[in-house]
Amino acid sequence: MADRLDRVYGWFDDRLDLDRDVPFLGKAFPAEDSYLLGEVALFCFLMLVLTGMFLGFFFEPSTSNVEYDGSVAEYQGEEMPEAFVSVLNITYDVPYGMFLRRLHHWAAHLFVASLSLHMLRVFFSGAYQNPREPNWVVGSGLAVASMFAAYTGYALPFDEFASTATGIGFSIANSIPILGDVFARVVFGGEYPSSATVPRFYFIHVFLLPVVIAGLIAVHMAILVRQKHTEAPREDDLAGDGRRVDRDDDGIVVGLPAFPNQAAISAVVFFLTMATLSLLAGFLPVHNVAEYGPNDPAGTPELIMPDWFLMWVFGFLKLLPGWLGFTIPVVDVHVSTEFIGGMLLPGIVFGIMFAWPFIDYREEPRHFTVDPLARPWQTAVGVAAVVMVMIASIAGMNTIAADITGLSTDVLNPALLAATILGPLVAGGITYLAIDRYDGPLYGSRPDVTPDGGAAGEAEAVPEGAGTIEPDDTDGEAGSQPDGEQSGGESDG
Amino acid sequence: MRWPTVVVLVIVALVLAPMWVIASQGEGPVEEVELDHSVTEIRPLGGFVDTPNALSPSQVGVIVWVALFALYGVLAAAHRFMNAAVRPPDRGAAEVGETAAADGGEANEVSRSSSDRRSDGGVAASSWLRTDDRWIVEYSDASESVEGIVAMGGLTALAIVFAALFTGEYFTLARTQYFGVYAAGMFLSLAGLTVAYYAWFMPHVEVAERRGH
Repeated sequence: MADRLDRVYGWFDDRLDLDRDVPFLGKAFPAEDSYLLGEVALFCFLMLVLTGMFLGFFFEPSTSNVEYDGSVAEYQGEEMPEAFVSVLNITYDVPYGMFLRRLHHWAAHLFVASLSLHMLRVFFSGAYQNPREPNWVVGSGLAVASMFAAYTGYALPFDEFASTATGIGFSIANSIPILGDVFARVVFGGEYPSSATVPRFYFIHVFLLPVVIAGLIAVHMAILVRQKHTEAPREDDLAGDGRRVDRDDDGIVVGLPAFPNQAAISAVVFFLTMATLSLLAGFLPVHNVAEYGPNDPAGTPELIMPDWFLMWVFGFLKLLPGWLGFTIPVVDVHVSTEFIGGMLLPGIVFGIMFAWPFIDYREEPRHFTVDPLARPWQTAVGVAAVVMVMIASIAGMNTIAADITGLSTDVLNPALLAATILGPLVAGGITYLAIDRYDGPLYGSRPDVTPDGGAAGEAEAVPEGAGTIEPDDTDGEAGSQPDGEQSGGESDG
Repeated sequence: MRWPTVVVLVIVALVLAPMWVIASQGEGPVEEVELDHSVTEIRPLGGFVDTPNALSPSQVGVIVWVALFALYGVLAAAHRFMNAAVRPPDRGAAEVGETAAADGGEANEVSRSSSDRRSDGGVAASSWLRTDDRWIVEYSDASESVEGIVAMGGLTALAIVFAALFTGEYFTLARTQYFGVYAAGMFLSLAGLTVAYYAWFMPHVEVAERRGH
C-alpha cells in the first residue's frame, strides 16, 4: 500500500515537482481543537458555492411580473415578481430544491458564526500579534465581505420581509453625506426598490463578493502557510530524528503533517460540518418566502429585522435619538441619525477591528498563543466588545422585548441606550479587575527572555551522545509560570 | 476552572441569556404552506417530525450558534479521540527518555526504529515529512487491529445505505426531512469511517519545522 502511494506521489512529483519549494504536504498543524473553527468556515464557504451554483440554475433575477402556476395553492394565478416566483419553484417544485436552498441559507449563517468564533479565538489568544497582523486584516476583510454577501443574498427572493429589511440598508446608504445618492444609485440601481436592484444585487452576490471572499481566503491561507500556525505552549521538550525541540522555542512549530494526518482530520471536520448543515436544512426552515409573500410596496410587515449578525447595527439605528442629527453650517451638509447609527458607529467598530493589531502592537514576534488571563486589558476590551454587540442586538429586537416585558419601546429605549453605553464599560471593568487580581497559574504566557536574561531557547541539532533534556521543572501545570512572572510576556503589550 | 474565567463567563451569560430569550420569540406560529399536489408529485414538506413552518432571522441566529457549539463539541471529541487513539500509552516519555541517553548512541532510537523500518534499508516515512527544515518528532505505527476492520466495514455499509436512500428519495417524494436525515447519516458515517481509519490504520506522525524558511 505504501509503495503504491509512493508511486502515485512519484507520478505527480515527476510532473509537478511537488517537493521543490512546496513543502506544504508536511506542514505542521498543531493539534488544537479550536484551530478547526477556521476549517468549519472554509467548508461552509465551499458549500455556499456548490449550493449557490445549483440555485443559480433556477433563479431569475428579475422583478418583472409573471403569472405563478406552481404548486403553492395560495399564489396560483397571481402576477408576482419573477424572482419571487423562481424561488417558490426552487423550493416547492424542484426535487432537492427546498433542501439545497435551506442548506445554502444555513451554510451562510454557519459561515458567519464560525468566522466570528474563529476571530474571537484569535483575539483572546493574542494570535493576531506580530507577525500575523496582515492575516488579521485579511480575516477582518473576510468578515465584512461575508456580511455584505449575506445582505445581498437576503434581498434576492424579493419577498415582503427581505425587501423591507433590505430597504433599511438603502436608507443607510442614501444617508451618507454628499456621496449617499451616488452610492445608493451605484449599488441599488436608483430609488429602492427599482427594477435594477435585484439584478445588481444578483451580480454582486453571485460573482463580485464570492470572488472577493475566495481571493481573501486564498491570501489568508497563503499567509498561514508562510508564517505557520501559532502554537499552544508545549508541555515538554520534544526529540526526534536526532534533533531536539526546546519547549520554549517558538522558532519551531510542532504538529501533525498536512498530509496524511491533518488531511484526515480536515475530512472529519468537513463531514461533521455537512452533517450539521444537513440536519438544520432537513428540519428547520430558514427564510420561508411563501410565508411572507412577494414584495408589497404599499405594505409593511409586522416584524422587520435584519439577519442576526447585523442586529447590533439595527440596534444603533433604533436607539439613537432623532435630535442627534445635525446640519454642518456653511457647506449645508446634513448628517442624519441613519448615517451616525448605520455607517459612522459601525464604521468605527469595524475600523477598530481592522486596526486592533496595530493598537495592541508588539515589537517582538510571537508564535505561542497567550493565556487570556495573562492579558488583562486586551481580554477586558474583548469582553466589552462582545457585551456591546449583544446589548445593541437586544436593542435591535426592542419590539419583541417590549412584548415580553409589557413595557413600551419608549420606556425601554432609554434603558437600552444606557445599557449599550454602560454595559460594556462595566463588563470590561469587572473583567480587568478580576484578571488583574488573579495570581494563579497561567498557560501560554511566557516571558520574552529567560529568567537568566538569555534569549528563549532555539532549536539545535543534538550531537550524537551529547546533552540531556532537563526534566520538566514545573509542578505539573503545563506552561505554568511563577506568580511573579505572570505578566512578563506582556510588558510591551 | 480558574475563577476569573468563571467571572467572564457569568458576565457574558448575563447578557447572552436575555438576548437569546428575546431572539427566540421572533416569529409566532404560522400555518404550513398548502401545496396543490395536482401540479407536482413531490412532497417537500412531508416528514415525521413537527417543526416550525417559519423562523425569524433572530431565531435563526440562536439556532445557528447552538448548532455551532454542538458541532464544535463533537469536533473536539473526535479530534481528541483521533489523537489519543493512535498514541500508545507512555509513548512521549519513552522518546524523550531515549533521546536523553547520553551513551553515545543515536538520539531518539525509538523514533528512528519505528519510522524508518523498511526491509530494503530505506526511509519509510514519506519524502515530504523530512526536509532540511522539517523532521519527525513522534511516530507511532498503526495498530491495524481486527476491530478497526469491523468498524470500517460497518460504517462503509452504512454510508452506502444512506447514500442510496438519499438518491432514492429524489426519484420518489423528495421529502426535505428525509433528505436531511439521509444526508446527515451519510456524512456522519463518512466522518466515523475517517475517524476509524485514522485510529487504526494510519501511523501517528508529528513533525517539527522551522518557521523561518
